Amino acid sequence: MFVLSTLFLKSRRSESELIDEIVRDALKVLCSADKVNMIGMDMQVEEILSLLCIESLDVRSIGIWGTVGIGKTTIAEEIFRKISVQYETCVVLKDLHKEVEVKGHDAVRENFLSEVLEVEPHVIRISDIKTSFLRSRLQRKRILVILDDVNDYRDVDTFLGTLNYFGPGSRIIMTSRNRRVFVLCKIDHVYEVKPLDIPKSLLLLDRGTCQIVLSPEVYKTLSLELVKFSNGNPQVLQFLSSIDREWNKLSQEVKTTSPIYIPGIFEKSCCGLDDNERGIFLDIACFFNRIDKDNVAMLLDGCGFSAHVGFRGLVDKSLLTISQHNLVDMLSFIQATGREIVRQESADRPGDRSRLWNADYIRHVFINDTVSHHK
Amino acid sequence: MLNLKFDANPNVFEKMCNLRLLKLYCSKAEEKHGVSFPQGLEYLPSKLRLLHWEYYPLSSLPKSFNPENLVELNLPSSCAKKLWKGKKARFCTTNSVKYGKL
Repeated sequence: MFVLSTLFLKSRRSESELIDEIVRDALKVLCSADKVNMIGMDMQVEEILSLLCIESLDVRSIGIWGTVGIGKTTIAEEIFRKISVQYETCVVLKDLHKEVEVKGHDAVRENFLSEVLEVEPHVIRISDIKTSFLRSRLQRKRILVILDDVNDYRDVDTFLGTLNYFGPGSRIIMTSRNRRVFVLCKIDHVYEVKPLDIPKSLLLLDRGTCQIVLSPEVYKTLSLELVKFSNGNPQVLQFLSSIDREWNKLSQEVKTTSPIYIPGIFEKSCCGLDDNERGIFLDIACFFNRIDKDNVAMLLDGCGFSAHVGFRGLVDKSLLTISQHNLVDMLSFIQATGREIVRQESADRPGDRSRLWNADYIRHVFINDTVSHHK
Repeated sequence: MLNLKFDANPNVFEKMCNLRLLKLYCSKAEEKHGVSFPQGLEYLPSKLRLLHWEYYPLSSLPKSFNPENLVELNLPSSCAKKLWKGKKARFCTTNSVKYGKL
């Protein structure tokens, strides 16, 4: 307040001019998006905005789908930043799956309704809200809702019906790694987030990396290898660019698809998989990447898995693709993450792990006979 | 598996009774005969689904090996003259096995 009043005293402009200026300045600060995170995202934000048809008066929903770390949340936040000013009520539920896990379905529902209806959460808790009331309150409102990281249909099941009562022009944006969620939630359009191209990946990798010992040629070769490993995934690139390790060693690990712990990716990649999907995911990461789908299915079925159901689940959860040549195809960084999950089963004793693929470990287990009986 | 070059004990798989997938392969021709079994091989786990073993060094599979769960058998360039002595009737009739190169 002090600053404002001094400004006012010093200037000879009218109050309204001054307010305009303050609003402009404040907006500038608020709108300065984190440019690092936004590398390569602008086009995609524009594409989603055009799918949203902001002007149209119907109620629309968009699903933003993509693999872990690809930038779904960043894009959703950027869209929010650009359009939220046009809506009467804006609700953003971040990290929804985790929120549900930590706080429970009821608390998340209360939180959602309290924000939509603009009342305190305890009011929701103590009152038995009738559908007719919800409808009458919401149908006049133009609402923007962002539901971030809906990993499972059940995360939003408790309040999904409410979205039907939203007034004309309302928009719902949902991000998920699981395409199936969009089908179950009857989302109108699904937008798949694309990986960064090579020049943009290099730009992101270049930031903050200090590999001065390398000659420019070696630097170029190694950075291209790392970019290939990342498959244009911004979170993986940021991890690689900030990692405090020599690129020479790192690129060796990357080439042999050694297990690599990538924070954020590791924790989320297996989240929400059932036992069948998890087993198949790890088997492909360790043994079967880029092998004929039907051959792999025969072996997995023989091992007691339901291979085709599992493949479908993993494809929906953006952990696997089936290539044109009918190969099961897993991105390198996801494969390295799967192998890391197996490595962490027993970091010190390879014989205690569920799967072994590295010749040195196998030799160690064979010669020292350290395998556990139950494995 | 690659770059394996050592002598293994005939009971090396004994503790791995739940082993389902076993693949020994050589990425380079000079790495063949990587694992040797100077005293033969006594045991292979009966839960094996995949048995892929390039340059398998012995003349047959272990007598005790029960292949009832086998889905794929691949022994390219092996020294095996026959898979096993006697009949493994159940194996032949109940499983649809994909035979690779022998």
